[in-house]
Amino acid sequence: MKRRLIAFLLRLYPARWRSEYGAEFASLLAARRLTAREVSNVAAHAAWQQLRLQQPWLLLAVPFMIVSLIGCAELIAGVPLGARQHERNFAGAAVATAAFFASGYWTMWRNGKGAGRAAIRFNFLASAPYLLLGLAGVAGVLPIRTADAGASAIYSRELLLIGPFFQAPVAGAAGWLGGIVARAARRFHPRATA
Amino acid sequence: MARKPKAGPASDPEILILSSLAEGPKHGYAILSDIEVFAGHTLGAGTLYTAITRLVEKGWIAPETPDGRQRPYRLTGEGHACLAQRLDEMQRLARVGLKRLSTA
Repeated sequence: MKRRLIAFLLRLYPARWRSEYGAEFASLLAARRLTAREVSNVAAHAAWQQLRLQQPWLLLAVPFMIVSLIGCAELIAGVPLGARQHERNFAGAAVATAAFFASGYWTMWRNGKGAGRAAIRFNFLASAPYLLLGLAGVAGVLPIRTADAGASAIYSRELLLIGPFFQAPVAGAAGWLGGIVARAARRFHPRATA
Repeated sequence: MARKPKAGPASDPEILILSSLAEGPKHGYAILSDIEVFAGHTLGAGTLYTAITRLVEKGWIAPETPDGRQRPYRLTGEGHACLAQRLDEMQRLARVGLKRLSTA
């Protein structure tokens, strides 16, 4: 029973962490009384290691994907676009560009390479809901409103579908720039870990 | 009976681990037992290994050759300097606080 519980707790940790510390950690757990408090402590720290060892672009993309899901839900539900939609889109693009830069910076800081690629992956993951909505629109599965009277912006299923591809070069460039800044910053912090 | 403080520099897992290893290399279980004895804190196994991971990454402690399934850790030169600096700061703070308490 205890051995099974230890194996389960170990599986909660990322494989990379397990390969480094797994054997000794299992040995420590075997020597301790696994109370509810101890089990919850191990589970909480396993979640933290999972979060810490994930790729930076993935961690940044998840909240943006949630925002995209909300945007898609608004489009499907037929929330009016409104006169300020253009400004809203512009602000969203500015925040996304800053996030592309940040994902490039963070990736270069941690991995020492792949800043531009990370930002492009971030772009596609965060825009995935819009891409799927565009696909559903083109396939005729979901009707998508293209404009509202007095609205400052329009949407079309084609635009939703190709938007992430148009945005990819911007993402790559912002990520690459973030990588350059991170590489310069790393020189002042020689202890930065890979 | 007074309650044990739950937070503060004296309960920082990193300081506790570094202080334990200042005596010599130890593996995880020995570090936990030592901390319980000298600081009165019971660290969780997850807390211990998160702090160990961080300290290894910072280069303040380093793993030694494994002894069976256990792997001892030792304090590095950098870890030694960092521990000395942080304990010195705590000592200075404690001295000021105690002096003010005695004159209040």
